[in-house]
Amino acid sequence: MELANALLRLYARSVGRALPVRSTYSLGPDPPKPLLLALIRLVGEETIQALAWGFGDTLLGLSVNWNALNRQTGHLEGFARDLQLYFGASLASGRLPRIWISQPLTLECLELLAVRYSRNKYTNERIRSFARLLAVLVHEAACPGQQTVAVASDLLSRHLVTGQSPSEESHLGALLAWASPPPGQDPETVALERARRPATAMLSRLDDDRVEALRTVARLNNPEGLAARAEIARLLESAVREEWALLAGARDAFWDLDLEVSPGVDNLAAISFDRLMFTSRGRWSPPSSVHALAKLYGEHEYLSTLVEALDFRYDQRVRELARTTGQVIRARVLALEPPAERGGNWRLLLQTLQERTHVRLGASLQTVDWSVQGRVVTFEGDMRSEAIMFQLSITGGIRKVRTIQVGTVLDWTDAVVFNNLMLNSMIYKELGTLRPWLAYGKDP
Amino acid sequence: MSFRGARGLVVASFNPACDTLLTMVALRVEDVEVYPLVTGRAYDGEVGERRGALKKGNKFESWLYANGARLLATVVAVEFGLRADNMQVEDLRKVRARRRQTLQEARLARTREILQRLANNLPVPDLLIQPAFAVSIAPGEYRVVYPDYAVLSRWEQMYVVGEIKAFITRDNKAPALSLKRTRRQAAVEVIALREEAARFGLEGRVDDRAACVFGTVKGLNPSAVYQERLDAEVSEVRTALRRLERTSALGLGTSQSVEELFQNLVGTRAFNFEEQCFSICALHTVCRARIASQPTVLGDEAADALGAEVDLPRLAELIRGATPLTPAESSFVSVVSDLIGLLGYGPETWAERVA
Repeated sequence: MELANALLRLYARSVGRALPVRSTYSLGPDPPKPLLLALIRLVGEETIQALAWGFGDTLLGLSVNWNALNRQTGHLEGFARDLQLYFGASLASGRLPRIWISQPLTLECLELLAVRYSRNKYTNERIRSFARLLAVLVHEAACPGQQTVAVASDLLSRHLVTGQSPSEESHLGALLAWASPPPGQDPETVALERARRPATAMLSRLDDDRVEALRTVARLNNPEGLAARAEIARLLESAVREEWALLAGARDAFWDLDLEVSPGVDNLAAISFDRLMFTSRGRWSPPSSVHALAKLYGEHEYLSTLVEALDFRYDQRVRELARTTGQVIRARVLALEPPAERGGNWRLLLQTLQERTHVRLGASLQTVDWSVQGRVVTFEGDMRSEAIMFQLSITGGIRKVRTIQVGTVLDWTDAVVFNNLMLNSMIYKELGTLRPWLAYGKDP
Repeated sequence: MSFRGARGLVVASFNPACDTLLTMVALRVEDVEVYPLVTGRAYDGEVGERRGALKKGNKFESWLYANGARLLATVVAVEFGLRADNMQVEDLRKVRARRRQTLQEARLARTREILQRLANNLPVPDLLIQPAFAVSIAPGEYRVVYPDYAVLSRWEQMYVVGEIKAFITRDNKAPALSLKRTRRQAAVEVIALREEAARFGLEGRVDDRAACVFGTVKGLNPSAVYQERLDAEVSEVRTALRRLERTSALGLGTSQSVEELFQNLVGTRAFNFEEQCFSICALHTVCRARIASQPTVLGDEAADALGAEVDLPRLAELIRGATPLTPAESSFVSVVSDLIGLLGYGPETWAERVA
């Protein structure tokens, strides 16, 4: 992957444009009205100073708080109302809501807001329920393959490779310079110019210093104080409008990639919807006890494998790039052996010429179309031909195996989807009830 | 991040192979001061910490140091098996300088006095607020570091350096870049403590670890103490110190003006550009421009994969259809063509899209 990635970066540089590294979108199409949220945070405190939100390309609301240190929540009320209405209406109509944010830092701010206000008795119920909804969103955003929270910078980085370094790509403005280069301009020059200003949901250095200097005066209840507040508000409003434009541009650039939507997305969207229906109902709170966390991590592990397996199955570019790292193995069938005894397993002898493979004794492999599964039982390298031969004991897909001809070339992967969530759920439920000393650290 | 004082050692440890960086640290010159000398114009990018973050950091520290550092003592006591109400705290910020003594010397002297008492098995304070430790960077030259605190570990009978950082940790997660810098900073302090302890034969008791207290979502409430192992960071800082000693020994800056020196350094490519330079040095744009034809501009991984000596413009020409002149070039064209073919974007498709 390192060499492939380097060559792709070089290729992107020589053609002066970012290259898609996927042939399908990993995100389903936007609903008719996706919600976009841009915000400006107070660095250090990580509180929200200004936010702008709207549906599609239409800016619906914009609010600023000239003193983000005072823990007032008045500026959040409008967004809280609209977000709750949007979520309620989407879920009630059986549709998955979609919220677009520009970068992971925005999500961190929302997470802190959720922690600070979901049980805060000094604020009103609307803000408390808004904070609980944010906790749901943050929890959802962490789930692999989720289809609700679209983080623009992450999505673009996963779908594109630019002619710059990964560190430079982390600046959303710079990434956009490669994704949709301004006509007649060198994307690298534009990207470097844009990267001079931070694009991490905060004010520019000059404006930030100005706002900090104005804060003391703004606390005064006199005309000077009012003027200072107005100036802070103006600076914040201008910054949040820029952030909104960046987000809208990133969303447009993403959909302009013009890829097919992966067929696997429907499956992931259904999982996302079910999860949201569960977490947004009643007073759900993020898992914190041992058994709940273990269950959550089990789910994440399952979902990561599922997303990977779906990508290998439906996305040709992801599959080819995975071959360079050995996650996908292209192998020729050399022999097919029926079971030696009754109840035994069929065996497939395979040969691959790939330099890198994830084949090791005992590893589970499945074909990328999920039709056959097996376990590696023998494994040997041939020094002369540099080929690797391995034998699989077939554990699933016997009917399909019988139809395989010797000489057939198949793609295999170690991303084997095994859904044991139901079984795990029962185990963790029992663990939660018994609260054993070993897990909970208390005497039985 | 400042290049002067102990912070300079932290910066140097991030890229010890860069002679320009080491020279700035050795001469105690800031990168933003060198930038105009090399480019002829003032640096207009981000420099230093944001005022808001700085304010929060100072407020957080003051809160922990208030009332004889009661809050800090409470947090630290739990982790080190001490009783907060019995802890002896000494605030070295309150040390007064004697005649013909600077404040720095006075704090160093008091810290050494405490270490001497520790070596003689006499009672010492359990918690030191901002003690001073000197770390030598060249013969006769040293930098003084001030850890936020140092707590006495009963098991090792030695102080463990501590750092207080206001950035918010949540679910045991701290911002990666801030944590990386904190760990480097603490590593410099560990090395300095070991050097001071060596004066009294106590260096064997110093462990490569630090006790960090971070901020939480709840206003100024501190987190529990995180004891961080710093073996890797200590090793990195040691490498930087060795190279820094060599840089200082070269006597750079003695025979020419600072302006000539840095123009010469950058001009002769006496720098080592890496991806992380973006977050540590203002000269990154200058160095990047000088190596625009090398694979490093595509990232560290790409440079490793392609080889540092590769000429990017030539490779770009080959991609655009130039005739290969050597077997290596032919092999490159074949590899790229295979990859492009596999991923399904031929040059003509992209030429069309670009057009």
